[in-house]
Amino acid sequence: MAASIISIQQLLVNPNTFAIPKQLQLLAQKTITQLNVGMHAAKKLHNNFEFNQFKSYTPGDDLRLVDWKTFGKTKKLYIKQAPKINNISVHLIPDVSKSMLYEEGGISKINFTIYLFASLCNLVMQQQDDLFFFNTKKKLNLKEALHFLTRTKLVNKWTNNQQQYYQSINNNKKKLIIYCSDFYEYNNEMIEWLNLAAVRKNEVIVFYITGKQERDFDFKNANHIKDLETGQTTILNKQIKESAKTYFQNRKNYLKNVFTKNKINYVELSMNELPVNALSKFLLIRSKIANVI
Amino acid sequence: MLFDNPKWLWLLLAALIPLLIHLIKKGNRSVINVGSLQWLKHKEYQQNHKIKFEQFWLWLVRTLIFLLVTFIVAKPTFINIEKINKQHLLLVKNDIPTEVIVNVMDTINTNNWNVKWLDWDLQKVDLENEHFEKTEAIHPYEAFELLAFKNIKPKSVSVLGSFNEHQLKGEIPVTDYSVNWILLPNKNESIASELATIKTQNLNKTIAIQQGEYLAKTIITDMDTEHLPDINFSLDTIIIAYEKDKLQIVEVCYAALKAVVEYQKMATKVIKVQAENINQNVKGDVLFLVGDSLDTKLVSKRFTKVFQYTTAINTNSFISKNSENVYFNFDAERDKVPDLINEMLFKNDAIDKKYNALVSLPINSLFFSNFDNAKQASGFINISKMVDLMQYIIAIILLLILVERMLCRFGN
Repeated sequence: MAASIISIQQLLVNPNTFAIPKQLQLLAQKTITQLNVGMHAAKKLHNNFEFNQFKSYTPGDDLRLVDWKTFGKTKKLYIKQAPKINNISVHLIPDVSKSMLYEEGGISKINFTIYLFASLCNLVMQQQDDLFFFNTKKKLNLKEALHFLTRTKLVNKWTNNQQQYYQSINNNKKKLIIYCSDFYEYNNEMIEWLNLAAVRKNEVIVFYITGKQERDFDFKNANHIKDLETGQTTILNKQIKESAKTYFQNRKNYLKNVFTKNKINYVELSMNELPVNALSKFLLIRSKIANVI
Repeated sequence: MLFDNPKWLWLLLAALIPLLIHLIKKGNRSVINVGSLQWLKHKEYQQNHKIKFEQFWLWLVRTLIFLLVTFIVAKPTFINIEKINKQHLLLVKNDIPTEVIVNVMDTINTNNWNVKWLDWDLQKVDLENEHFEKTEAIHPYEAFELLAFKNIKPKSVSVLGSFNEHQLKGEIPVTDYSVNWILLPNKNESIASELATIKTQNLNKTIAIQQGEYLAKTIITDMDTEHLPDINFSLDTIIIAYEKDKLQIVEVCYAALKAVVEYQKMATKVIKVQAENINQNVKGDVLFLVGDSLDTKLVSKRFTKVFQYTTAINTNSFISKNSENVYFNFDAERDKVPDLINEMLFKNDAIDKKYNALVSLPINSLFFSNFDNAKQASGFINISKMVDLMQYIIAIILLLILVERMLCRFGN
């Protein structure tokens, strides 16, 4: 009997995927597997630390680190140096306003975020970094993180949860903040909060999620639009379509400028793309950050 | 409000179409959830209310368009219902002998007939006191003009009295009720008999009234039986050919013809042309020749009907006819040119017999003021009112369509 292979698309369409941690983990793992295609394990095992460079011995250095083989050859004392392994705290923070319920192509923005974060959780765990979700104070393991993700509760507006957002960046410990949002805000409240997070010398990566239909406001056969945050319904006419297009174009440029200015890493995500692409972009940004550091 | 064509009133249902469209559209409302509309400016939110307001006006305008179109088709008559007196009227001339009235009145009262006695000025006759107002009105035509002017639509009208030839020569306006002529003998009995024959020719009998009993019987039995023949005479082009020295007469004739054409609601062209320009190519339904020296025979074959104004006609008889022509001799002081032409074109049996008519048109310098007076009192006024109303309604419809289009454009 042929084993049934569930594709990512099937999992995405299944509503249980984002409600059951195990299913979510399955989806995330499949994505990570796709991401690692072409990578392979090293053939030989090395020492428990990775050699990087030699340094001349100076008084005060630990004699245990002296490379005696080199001393035997050169009659000079050298110390073997290895890169220092830093564990960073990764904070995954989703936008939990109801605007994230917007759906396109069968998946909502919030589910897309959960999916993305679940994949990131796996990556973080592989890196053996510390993982935090939203404003949790305790370091989470993968299971706990997935549990939190599947139980994400939405509120009407971002400002309703404003206090918790500020709490999540409150402690002085340096961390990597990954924030995923559609950036529907009323008085720049999200940008102010992110600026504050960036000022505290945290690394901030922002994912800006939009849908293609949403950007073009190309809702065929629809004559009314409903605001998911306020519940207000409006007649959809040409003028509103034009306003929407202008808004999204301006918004994109504005966010790009603001985040670049404040040294916040900014990634545009389209709901129509696979999250693998988003993760690739994320890793690319991370590698750039690592190089800079 | 009454309608001339009430059968078209079912079109009023069409006024529901805009409402149905609105309801269907409302039923087909498809809503798409979007993240947030906070980016919509306040102005655009306000526009939402504006659109709803516009939709209401759009519905109203469309409904009005349908209603007005229905009104045009149904031809409303804006008259006071109280004035529609569906009774039998007896128009009594004031010089009728009392003994005749008493006889007629007894017969009618005994049988409880619903007959209203009116004198020439449409004043109620005081039958109890057998009292008659001595009025100034001359002939029955004016009484009918008054009926039309006051929008009184009786079931039938019977005219009772003795008349001389001048009083009887004018026809009554077109009516949609039956008219009976009960003629009492006057001094010149032979003329009265001849007139009675003419006036009652549609009944195929002559009424020579001598006794009140027979008179009353005639009034009742002939009610609802006689209707004036409908006019069904289509004209395409009326050409007035004139000699240079008859310019004044031509103008009068032209104005009168225009008035008649308007009165009869016809799409008829009236063209003036100098007689010397008449050639083989000029054709039409009716030709008016104004001048003495014109030869009717040359052009008569190319026209269905030919009328000629000439000063040569001078006959004493009321109507005399030979095999080809009918001569009319109208009273220039009293008759009105439009009425006269109207009669010539539509009411004369000579026309039906395809006779050519030679007419002596009464021309005087006061024609235009007379014509205005006639418009105030005769049937012309009703028609012109209706035409004006239709013009206004059509203009309003066009305006509404324009508004509807603009609202649609704003709505999108």
